[in-house]
Amino acid sequence: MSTMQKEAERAGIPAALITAIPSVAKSVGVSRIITGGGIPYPAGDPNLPADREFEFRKRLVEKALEAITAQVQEPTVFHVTLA
Amino acid sequence: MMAKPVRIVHYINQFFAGIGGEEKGSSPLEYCEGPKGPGLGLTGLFKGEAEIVRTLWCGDNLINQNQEEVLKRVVELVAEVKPDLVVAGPAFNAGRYGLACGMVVKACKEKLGIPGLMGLFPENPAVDIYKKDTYIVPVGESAVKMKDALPKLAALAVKLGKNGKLDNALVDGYIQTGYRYNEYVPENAAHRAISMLMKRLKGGEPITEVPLRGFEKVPPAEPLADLKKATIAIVTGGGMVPKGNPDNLKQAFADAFGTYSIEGLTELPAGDYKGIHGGFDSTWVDLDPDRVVPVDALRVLEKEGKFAKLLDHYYSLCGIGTNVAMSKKLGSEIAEELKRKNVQAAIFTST
Amino acid sequence: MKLERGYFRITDLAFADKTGLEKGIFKVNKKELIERLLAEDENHLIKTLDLEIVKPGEDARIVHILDTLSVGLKIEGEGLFMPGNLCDPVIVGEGKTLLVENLAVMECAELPWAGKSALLYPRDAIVDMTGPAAGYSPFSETFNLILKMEMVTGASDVEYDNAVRSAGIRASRYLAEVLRALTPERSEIFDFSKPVDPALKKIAYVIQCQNQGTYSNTFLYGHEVSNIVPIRLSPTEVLDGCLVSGNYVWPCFKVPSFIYSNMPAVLELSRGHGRDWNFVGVVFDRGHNNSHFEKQRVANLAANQTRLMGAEGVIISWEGGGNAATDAMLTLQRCEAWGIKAVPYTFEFGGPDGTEGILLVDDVPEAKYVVSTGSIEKPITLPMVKRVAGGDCLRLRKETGGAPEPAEVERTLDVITALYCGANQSGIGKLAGVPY
Repeated sequence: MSTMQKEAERAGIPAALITAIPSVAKSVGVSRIITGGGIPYPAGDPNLPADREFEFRKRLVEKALEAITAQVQEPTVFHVTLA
Repeated sequence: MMAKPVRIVHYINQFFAGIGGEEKGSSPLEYCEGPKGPGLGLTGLFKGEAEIVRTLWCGDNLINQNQEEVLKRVVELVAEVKPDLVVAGPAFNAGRYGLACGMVVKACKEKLGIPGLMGLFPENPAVDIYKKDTYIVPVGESAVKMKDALPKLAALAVKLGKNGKLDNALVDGYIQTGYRYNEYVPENAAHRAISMLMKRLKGGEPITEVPLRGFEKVPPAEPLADLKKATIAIVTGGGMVPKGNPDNLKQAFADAFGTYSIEGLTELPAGDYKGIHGGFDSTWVDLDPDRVVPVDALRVLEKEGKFAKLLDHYYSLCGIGTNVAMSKKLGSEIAEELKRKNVQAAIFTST
Repeated sequence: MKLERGYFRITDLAFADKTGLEKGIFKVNKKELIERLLAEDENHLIKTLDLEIVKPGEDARIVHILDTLSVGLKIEGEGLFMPGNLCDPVIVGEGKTLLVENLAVMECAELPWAGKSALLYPRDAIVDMTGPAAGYSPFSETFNLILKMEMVTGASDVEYDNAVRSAGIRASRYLAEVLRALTPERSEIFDFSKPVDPALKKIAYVIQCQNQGTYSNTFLYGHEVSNIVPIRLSPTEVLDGCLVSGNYVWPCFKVPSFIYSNMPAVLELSRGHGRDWNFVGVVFDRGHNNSHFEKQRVANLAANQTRLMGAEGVIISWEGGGNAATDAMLTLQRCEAWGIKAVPYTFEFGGPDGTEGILLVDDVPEAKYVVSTGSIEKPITLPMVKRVAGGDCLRLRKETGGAPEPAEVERTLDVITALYCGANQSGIGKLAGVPY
């Protein structure tokens, strides 16, 4: 998906990638990277109770939107905190 | 009785033909029978196993600026003498000369089926452009290294002329073309790894069997100016598809993507959707598909007016094992779709 | 630790009235073994069991392969070969163990594909005994005793997994008993108890396995390793079968039990120990860790184990695709950062002619010295075969329903992922990606 995110950016569509392995995305050159929950649940975390997990997901997509509206020069990793 | 010598046509530029330097870059395509310039050195090294029957030369600027015309004539001149092989250069690190060598050799291969060989400094930009089309012998950076370059070029020219092709790049020492094939080698991988490690531990620098290939740098897109007016789309590599996988998407090595409606949905309901990605345990996303296609969270933000609209469908494939070429193809197709649907930004998820 | 291994090499495998090994021919009393395995299948999960013999050079294809085991017997030293599996987890690696070098026990069954995870189900695994695909698996060169099993329906994955593994282990032990009174044809001794010339370079070997849940697990002394912290093992423990595989998810990406107990890098490093180098030991861990943090943690711990062992160089191999490669590459990176030279061996991508995109699914800039185990992205045409063993169909695509297809016909596969051990991750095979 890293390569695909780059194609979107190449076409002028800012895109953020939510992934559990930001290092891979960074080395492939994805510009807007959001550190996700885990490989089997990039936009979630089943270890959390349902309502807290939803809050986590909401923050992930909010951070994605923030990344999309941010000026970035090179691969940038954005993190989300729950507290 | 000795085998007939390999017949070679040699291509060089105006400088090595003795015409002049940069200022003579527009000198015309000319030729002579037999060797000239570095070809004389090569002839000595061939030891009778090969002979240069004709030498061609052209000004570097002329051939680069009039490729079609010049190459047409080059091909005619080469065809006339029916050589077994075309040799070009060595061009060391000269950019335009390197490109000239590459296009000459490539044209002869494509139009006449004659194999080609040239000598270039590994960082010459012509290497990346032509390495798939022809054999390139790595040589030094400038003509100062001619003495070292010619023997390598001569040896491979003889071999290539006789056999029509060369052995693998590690054996014959030419710059790797990028082509790689599975073959049986004498020792198993474990043994070769131990040998490679021991070489390193003794201070040596063994040649890697798998060169690292870098990734293309794509400059980031301009940030979204007005989020409140934007349409956002979801693209997932997590292989979340409607139950039953209606488009028969592959669990790995994707060659297509699916487009699935989320119209009227405030979340992706469990049970109606299924993760089919072959590389991770889909149990958790099957229980809650929003964990990989975050419809629920985005609907809430849409309702709050954070952005104008969530696109009424999402794009899905299984992002595992997809090689770069296919990823680029699918990625650009999705990007085109997004543009067609007036989507201003996208959120990708990957597993 | 000091271990002597005595080897038998058979010239034939056949069914007969009495199980035994004589003049190079291994004979198996089919009825007796089937009855024994069914009787010992305590939860009656095996509905039917048949035994088949497949020999090197036969015009045959084996399908539905799950795990493949060695036939080994410890006659001196504590514990049983494959300790912890249907026996106590006694530490092995000392004494004397007898093995039949070229005999393999294969578990074959169509385990139910109903519902469940998109990762955790056994994809159909193929070995061709002759033809273009034969070289992708070491088992085209072994005499294979196939346990062809049909399972009852309605049980859980954990139960099926247990049942097939138990059958395999019991069959292996039944055959191994034959060796007890026999003298091996040749032996070799691995002695890690003697002092080693301090001038010899110290080398460790990191073995990273797959363990992502039932059907993709690896068992260390009889227990799966989901929470394992990288652990040091003696090479002789590995050779004595302390690692058993229950990994059936991706046929090409696997190291079956047979190979673990004959791991080529362990054997070669052990053979040269004290003479060419100082093999300080094996570090065993698992990859496919779910988050970057967990990956870094395992990589750092594994690298640190090698550092604590005094390693100056490490060999690294892993089981699995991209997700696993990341963990292993991070391990490599950490080793190199500490001045420990690392050389991994791995499969490649590259597409049919090698020019497509990346070669390695994941790498780090420090991975400058890498050995190739061949590309998995090569198409291959499996020829029509005379005989199919282990089953009578191929189940190839679960994500589109997984309907059975004929197994004996000629078929072209786009990539070699269905070939058992095809990615050659143990380094046992001689296929490599060769550059032109």
